[in-house]
Amino acid sequence: MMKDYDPSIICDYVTLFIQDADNHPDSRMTNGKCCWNIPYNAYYFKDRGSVCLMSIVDANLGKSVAECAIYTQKGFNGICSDTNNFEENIQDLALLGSFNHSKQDGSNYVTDYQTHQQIKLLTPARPTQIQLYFYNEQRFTIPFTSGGADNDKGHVTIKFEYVNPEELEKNIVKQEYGVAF
Amino acid sequence: MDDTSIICDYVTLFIEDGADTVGADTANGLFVWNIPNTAYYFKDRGSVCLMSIADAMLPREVGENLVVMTQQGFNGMVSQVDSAAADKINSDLAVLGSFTNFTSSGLGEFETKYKSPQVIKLLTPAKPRQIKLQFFTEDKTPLDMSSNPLDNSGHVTIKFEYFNPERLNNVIYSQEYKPAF
Repeated sequence: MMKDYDPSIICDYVTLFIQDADNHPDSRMTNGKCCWNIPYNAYYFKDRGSVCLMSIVDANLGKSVAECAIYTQKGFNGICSDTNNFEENIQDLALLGSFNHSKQDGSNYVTDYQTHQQIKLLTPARPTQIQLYFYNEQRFTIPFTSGGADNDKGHVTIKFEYVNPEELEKNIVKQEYGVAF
Repeated sequence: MDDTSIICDYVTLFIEDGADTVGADTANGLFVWNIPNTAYYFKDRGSVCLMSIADAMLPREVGENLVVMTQQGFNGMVSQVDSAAADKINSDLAVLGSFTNFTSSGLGEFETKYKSPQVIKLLTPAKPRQIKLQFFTEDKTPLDMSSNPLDNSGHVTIKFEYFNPERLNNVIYSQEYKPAF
């Protein structure tokens, strides 16, 4: 049985600060889309496989950012049931993770799901650009504004794990239908 | 098979102990600790190891989300290709972890907290004789910890994990491209 798979021991960690996306020509900060170009030297080994597992290991946003979920278009094995309803008709978004927002609303503070698991999306290895999309729970974009407002502060640290092709192949084969007769 | 060592080394660094070491710059959130050789239980383990934060505490008076960075990680980086010049920090810094501050904003908002964090494990030279940590706010500003005595309370416990070089070699080689023909 495949364990909760952390196969490569040495993973790559790329930290993305929200404010650094502000200058990227493809970013649309007021619509919750942040882009970062990633230099080649961000990846410790250059000769690993062509795909890897992408997840968020660490992230923070300003407390004035309400409930927020982070999506990417790079996940082969993640999908939203109703992507076409997202603004700007963005296709193929997959959820990477989300935030709890603690706020006093009468006597309510937060509703917290108790047994989170890591979301690890299969993605092309060593991407030269990362685009993240920030939406609230109603699927409205999170507007990041430049100029030092609380909600353009924050960071996301992405982890890239590399997969042993042989073990992956065995694992996938095991999931196939067996011959009944 | 366990990928890393069962018996790890744990080095606890009190913030105030790192404030007066040569090289420390508390006004820019930089703390330095000299580590005695006796801090490491086995002296003859490999030349590299995985470094992570196992435990940490800072006073609530810090008042905002913080990021802890180190210069000692080979496989971590901050991507700031398109950053404004004023926003750039040293390119050899890597994020080890972060703190989410739970404080009322005055508008009844307390925190926005990522739900599924993972441990960041940076590859680093084993048995370092000196550890430097630098604290940044979420807008990449070095945290001034020189003025408020409360800011120099707290601790960070670093965990060092060692791995079997043969196992590591197997894992790394197995990630390489396989010849197609």
